[in-house]
Amino acid sequence: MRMNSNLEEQLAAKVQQELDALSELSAPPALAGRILHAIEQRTSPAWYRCAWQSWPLTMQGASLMALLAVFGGICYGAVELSHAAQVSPAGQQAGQWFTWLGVLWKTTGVLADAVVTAFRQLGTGILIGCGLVLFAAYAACVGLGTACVRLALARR
Amino acid sequence: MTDAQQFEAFLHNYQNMVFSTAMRLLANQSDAEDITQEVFLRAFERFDQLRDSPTVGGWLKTVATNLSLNHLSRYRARWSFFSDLFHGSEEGDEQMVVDFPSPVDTDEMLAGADRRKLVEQALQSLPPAQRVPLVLYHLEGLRYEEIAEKVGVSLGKVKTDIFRGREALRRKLRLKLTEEAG
Repeated sequence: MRMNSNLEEQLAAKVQQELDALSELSAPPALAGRILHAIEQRTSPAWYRCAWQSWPLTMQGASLMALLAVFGGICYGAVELSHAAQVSPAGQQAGQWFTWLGVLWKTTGVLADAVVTAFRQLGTGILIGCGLVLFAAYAACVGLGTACVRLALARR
Repeated sequence: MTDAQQFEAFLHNYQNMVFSTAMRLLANQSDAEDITQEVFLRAFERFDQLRDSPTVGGWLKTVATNLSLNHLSRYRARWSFFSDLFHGSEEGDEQMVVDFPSPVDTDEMLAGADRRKLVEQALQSLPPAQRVPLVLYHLEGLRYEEIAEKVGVSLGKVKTDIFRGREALRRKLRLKLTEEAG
């Protein structure tokens, strides 16, 4: 049975009165933390947009291996080119361009052999001492660099 | 205060309002939390403009309302079906009556927080077709035409659904109306 208009108005007013009396619902206590975390996730740049030092360790290792493989491949290709038969003037030119890469690859190989020999011949104590010296040198560089930057900024 | 601290304070100031808006439209806490999160993510992107704006409360409510309606619109086919299913059937509404205690006079027996809780439960127990226009009209202050545009239905349907929603609330809350002599 439909209401007459007077009852409809009364009903609308009653419902409005009931709903006006409602207070704000309380959000769950964990919601704020969840929202802040979501914002942090969205505003932090992806790992590949950050400096290499802040990449995940696995990605650092993988990228290093990939770069070494590419470098080794280029050097190997250069060595092969330099030894290859001169099929065309263009090939000869390309071979000359990459000759220096072949030299670099051979030098890298000689240095690696020297390091391996040193590790085998020198005692553990000397190796540890060299490691400590290298670390101290790195720390000194970092400290010196930091001091220089702060000095430069302080002058402003 | 840093930007992050300012935004956190902003979040704590307005999260209840945004959550309430979403919760009353969706009647689902999980969905309301998702909508609230999305509202504040958008607010964060515009925080420089919003932080000192006097209309930030209205902006948040509007975004919360629109996102809630977008969420509901995915289920509009089901919503319209159930709305039509209960057309002209008063038994359908009776089946949805919440199991409240049955005092003779609800107004006198319950007061304050209990009354509000009762009303909140009754509101959330309404089907979306009735609840949404009712909330938009009575709580958000929209006109019938605005509700029809937002929800994407005809003006006549909005009026019908609001009438049915009020009727359902009247039965659930046992609201008394004074019937004047004809």
